[in-house]
Parts: sequence; structure tokens; C-alpha cells
Amino acid sequence: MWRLFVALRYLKHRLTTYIATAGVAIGVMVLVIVVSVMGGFQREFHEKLRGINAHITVESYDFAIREPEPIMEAIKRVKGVAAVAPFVQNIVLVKGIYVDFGFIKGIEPDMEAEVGKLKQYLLRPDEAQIIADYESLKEYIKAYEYAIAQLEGIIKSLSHDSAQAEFAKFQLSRRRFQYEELKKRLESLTGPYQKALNRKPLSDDEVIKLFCFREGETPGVVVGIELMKHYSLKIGDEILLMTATQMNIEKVQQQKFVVLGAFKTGVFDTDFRYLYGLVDEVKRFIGVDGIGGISVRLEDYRDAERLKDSICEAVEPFEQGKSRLVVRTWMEQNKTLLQAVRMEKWLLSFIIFFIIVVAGFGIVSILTMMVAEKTRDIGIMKSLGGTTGGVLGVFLLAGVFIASVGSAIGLFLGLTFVYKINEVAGFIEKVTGYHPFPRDVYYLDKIPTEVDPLELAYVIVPTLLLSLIFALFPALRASRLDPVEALRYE
Amino acid sequence: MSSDEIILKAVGIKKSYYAGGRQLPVLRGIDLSIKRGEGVLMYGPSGAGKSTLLHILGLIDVPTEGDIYLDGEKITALPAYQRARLRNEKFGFVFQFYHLLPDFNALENTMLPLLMRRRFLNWFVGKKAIKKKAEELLEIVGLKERMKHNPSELSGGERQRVAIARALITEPQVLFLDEPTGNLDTETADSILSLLKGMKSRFNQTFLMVTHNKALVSFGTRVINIVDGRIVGEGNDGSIKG
Repeated sequence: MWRLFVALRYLKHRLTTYIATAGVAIGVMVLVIVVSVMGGFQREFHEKLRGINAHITVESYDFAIREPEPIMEAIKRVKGVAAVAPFVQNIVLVKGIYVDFGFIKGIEPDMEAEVGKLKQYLLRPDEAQIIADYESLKEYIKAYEYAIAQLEGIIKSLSHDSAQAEFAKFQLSRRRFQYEELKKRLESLTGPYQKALNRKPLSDDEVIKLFCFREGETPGVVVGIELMKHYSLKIGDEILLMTATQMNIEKVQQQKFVVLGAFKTGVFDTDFRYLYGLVDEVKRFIGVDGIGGISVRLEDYRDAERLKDSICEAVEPFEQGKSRLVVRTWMEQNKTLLQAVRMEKWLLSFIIFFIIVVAGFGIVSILTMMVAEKTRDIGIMKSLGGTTGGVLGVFLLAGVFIASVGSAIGLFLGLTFVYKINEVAGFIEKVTGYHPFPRDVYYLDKIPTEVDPLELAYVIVPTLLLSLIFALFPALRASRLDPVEALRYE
Repeated sequence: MSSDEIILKAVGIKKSYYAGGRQLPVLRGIDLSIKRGEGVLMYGPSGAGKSTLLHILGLIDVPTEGDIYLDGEKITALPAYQRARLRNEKFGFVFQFYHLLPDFNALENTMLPLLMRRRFLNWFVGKKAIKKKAEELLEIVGLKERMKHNPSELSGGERQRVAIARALITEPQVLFLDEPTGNLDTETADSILSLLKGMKSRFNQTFLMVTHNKALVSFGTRVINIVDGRIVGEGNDGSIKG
């Protein structure tokens, strides 16, 4: 205890103590913020991945599931399974004003709504139109801003009275007029756009109505909002889809589909490439008899790994000959993506941890200075009965104290920042006019955060250990000083 | 006096340092016994090896050869932590340059040797008693009003008084004084010496004092003259033989 008593006194009222502590605090604060925000993004990202994908899928790659009902019953009997839904999925070429590839997924809307978060992502036709219009308009406006800036540059470079300049000026005034008109339209759409984003999820009836009610014989699809924007689609427009199956690759099927509605998950790839139709219509379009698979929702998605084997066992009796049923968890389906996100988080934390390493060097330097400065004190303490371990303890405790207080301050500041991060972002926007977290980029209303005590421990424990190791070098040096030499030291 | 009253005994103490690639002998074989209640004064010119002998006897330094016995037990070969404990429990030190911890006030400096004995869990147990004892000692050495002052705010004489209080707080069996007045003017030195005299009669303190000041020889009950690493003379009551 006297070690702490002496250590604290040595640290008291020294500028270097405050600087070293601040170094640790800043490092810990930044790490806490990064870990929490990255954790939040990871959570949102996982949620979105799970949203469009089922927790577990049972797939037959050759569309061999002709009678899905008994299989679905068998899966449902597995404890922990909440809902199941059949689907058929295949790659398609989408032809509108452009051609792109995508995936068509045939579903039973009512059952699919139970399995995934489709219901939450679906938009009512008018909402879909408003969101598509608003977001396209925003892109136009950006293009106009660019064009206007270009024209202004050209005019400056031309002589005033030339015919070219006159023409450029005319163009500029036209563009400016159009720009203002677009901005007015954007403003008028802002309210409805916000309302559409904060919409109530569709009811079951609305989901069925969206997929099933239509005029004429043409089958319908629900497209992602990004495809709708890119292809300038309106509800009711027709698109041409082409597809072929592995079993019959020469026979390309094509079919016109009418756009029934749209969905917005916030994941660009999903919102661009996925098209949803009714399972029977999609089966007919692809030209297969059976369905491609069964989506499974679990009561808790974290059980996916655990329940996979039980589901495998449940579906095994239904495998016929060569056509196997492949069971995959949502994590397996998104393995590379999940790995990338995890890697990103780990790498960022690793890099930021170097701030703490630098802070650790701060501790080394302050302790080294302290040992040099207190050499005589060390001799005195030893002559009064201080052991080698005792002197070691004094300087170790000094280092650990800096690290502990720095960590505590950093943790407090970091958590405060994390809890207030959206207010901070709002404040920055208010002052600078620049939004550090544009919601149309991230598709999130707020900066997501997740404070995980375990991850905080991953920050704090290495910090303390590191500081202990760093403090050890000067402390060992101090403890090994010869008291006779130290007493003589002036 | 019978031998069982011998408190500290040194047998054949030699000490040499390596300097410039050759051995430099400082102590060339010292035999010395100190009895309980005795005041031994080591007198000799600078560089005679007095301080080195004091450091060795006080377990701050280790001899190259020879043994030291405390209460008849050999303590030369003890491990470092046990030597440290003996320094804390059995010995007290007063140095020429006071050697107070500059970051602590007079009271804290005085308390430190006793605080060093306390473990983490019983830090607060008996801390009051230690404080009271330190206050009493500081009052005895005449620093009642200056307990809260840091060493930098005290004069040389006052600092030495704090050092004396610090040395006495553990009620040491032997008090080692290394030129305690060497850094003080005559007047202050006199007051420190009379303080030490008072302490000696008050606590019947055994002590070993090093000095090169001939005027101090009357201070001890026994005077040892050291020249060139050897005891060249010994006498009682202020006289030096040899």
C-alpha cells in the first residue's frame, strides 16, 4: 500500500502525468467509439442480411421439390423453428432501358412474410413511386449542379462578347431555371418522402393484395427500389425477363412481367438485383415442376448453427436419388460478406490500438524520467527497508495508475460520445451544414451503435496489460538500482 | 560486559571496488563489536572507509569478505528482502544530506518507515497510531509547528531533525549516523548534537556515528579511529589511542 501512496505522490501535480493520462484516455475513447459504431453497423448489416435471407434454407439445386408440404411439416417439427416458406429462385436477365442480371424469387407472399422481413421492406405503390422520384431527382440535381459549374467555367474562359459566350450564357440561364424548378419539385416531395421512409409496415392483406391483384394476364413482379430508379420504372410498367436452367441451358425462356410494386432493404445489391413474384408464376416462367427450396425462420437466429444438423436430419428422408437437399445457415450464405465486415472491424480496431501503444510509450517515457529524477529517493526508500519488489511496485503502480485513470476517463468519454453520437452529428450538421452521416448513403436513420461489454473488455484489458508491460521496463530499472549508488546520486 | 550483550558484531570485513580494471581496497579487515546502549564514534579522515563500513554494518551495502552478526545471528548472507526487513525493523539511518523524500512533508517522511511495514489490507489499521507517534517525535525534535512543511521549505537543521525523527520512529536497535552535522553550520550542528545527546539518554539508544570532525569525539562512549580501511585506534571517553 505504501507503494501506491508513494506512486500517487510522484504522479501528483505533474504535467507529464496529465499528458500521459490524456494519451491513454484518447486512445481508449477512440477505440470505444470505433468498436461501438462498428458493432452497430455490423448489427444493422446482419439484420439486413437476415432480413432478406431466411435464417436457414433447404435447397434443391435442380428444382426437385415437387411436394414441399411434407418437407415443410418435417422442418416445422424441429424444436426452435418458427416458420417455413417455399421458394423458387433463378438467375434472370432484366431488360428495360438497360440490361442487367438479377435473381427472380418466386414466393408465397403470406408465408414469405412470416419467414423474412419482406413485409417490413415492401413499399405501397404510391410510396415506391415517391421514393424513386425523390431519390432520382436528387441525383438529377447533383448532375445539374455539376453542369452549371462547368458552364460558369466555360463562360469565364471565353471573351465577353463572342457568340460562343452568348450561347453559353443562354445555356447557363436555361440550366439555372431548370435547376430551380427541380429544386422546387424536390422540396415539394421532401415531406411525402420522409413519410414514405417512416411508413407503417404493410399488413398481411396489403402484402397479398400487392402480389395478387392485377389487371390482365401478364404475371407480376415486385422489384427493388434501385432497379426501379435505374430503369426509370413506374408501377404498372412492363419489363422483359429472360432465364434458363442448368438442366435445360439451351432453352432460354422469356416473359414479360408487370411491375407491381417495390421494396427497399437498404442493401444496394439486394435492392437492385432481386425481383419477387408468385411461386407458381415463376415456376412456369423458369419451366420447372418443383420448387427450389424452403426458407426457414428460427425463433432465435443465433441458434442457426446449432439447429442446422437437426434440420438436415429432418429433411434427409425426402432426398431422392441424386437430388440432394442442401441446408445452409444465413451465415454460410453470406460467409464472405460477414468475414469482410468482421475483418474490417478487427483491422480498424487493430490500427487504432496503436494509439494506445503510443500512449504506452508515453507511460514509459514519464516513468523513465521519474526513475531518473527519483534515483536518490529510490536509495532512501531502500535504506528505510524498501525491498526490490517494493520499489518495483512503486513505479509499476504509477504506470498502472495512469493507464487505469486514462482508461476510465476514455471509457466514460467514449460511452458518452457513443450515446450522444446522433446529437453530435446533428450539431455538426447545424454548425457546418455538412451532414457527417447522410442517411441516403447508409440507409439508416441514425448512426447505429452497439455497446458490448465484452468488446469493451477487449479494449480495456489489453490497455491495462500493455501499460503494465510498458511500465515494467523503467520499474525494473528502478528496483535494481544499488542503494549505495542511489544515495550518492545528486 | 558479557558477550551476550553484544548487539552488532563485524568479523573480518573487507570491501574492495573495481575501478579502472584493478581492485581498489576500501576496507582491509575490520573487526568490531557494538554493545547494547553503546555510542560508537567512527573517526577518521575522508576516504578512510568509514561510510562504507557504516553502509555494510547497516546492510545497505555488502562486504567482499567477512561476516556481520546481529544479536549473535549471521546476517551477511541473508536474501535481499530479509536484509530490507532488518533495515526497516532493527536499524535507523541519519545521513549527511538528510535524504528526505522531497514530495512528502515532514510528518509523512517521519511516518514512512512504519508505513512501509503495512500491507494492503491493513493500511488504515493503526495508521492513526503511526501518525500520533510521528507527531510526538517531531514535537520532541522541535518541529511541532512545521510538520506539514515539505523538505524544501525547511532549513538544513530542520531537515536533519526530521531525518532523526524518521530514524527513531521504528525504535531501532542500532542507529547509524553518517556525518549528521557535516552539512550544517556550527551553531545548527551544536543544536543537532545536543538533540542527539538528549535522544541517546532518553531512549538509551545504541548508535554508530561516522565523522571526520575531531571536535565530535567526546560525543561517543567509544571512539574508533579508522585510517585507510583499518581500525588504527580505539578508546573510551573521548580519547583516541593509537
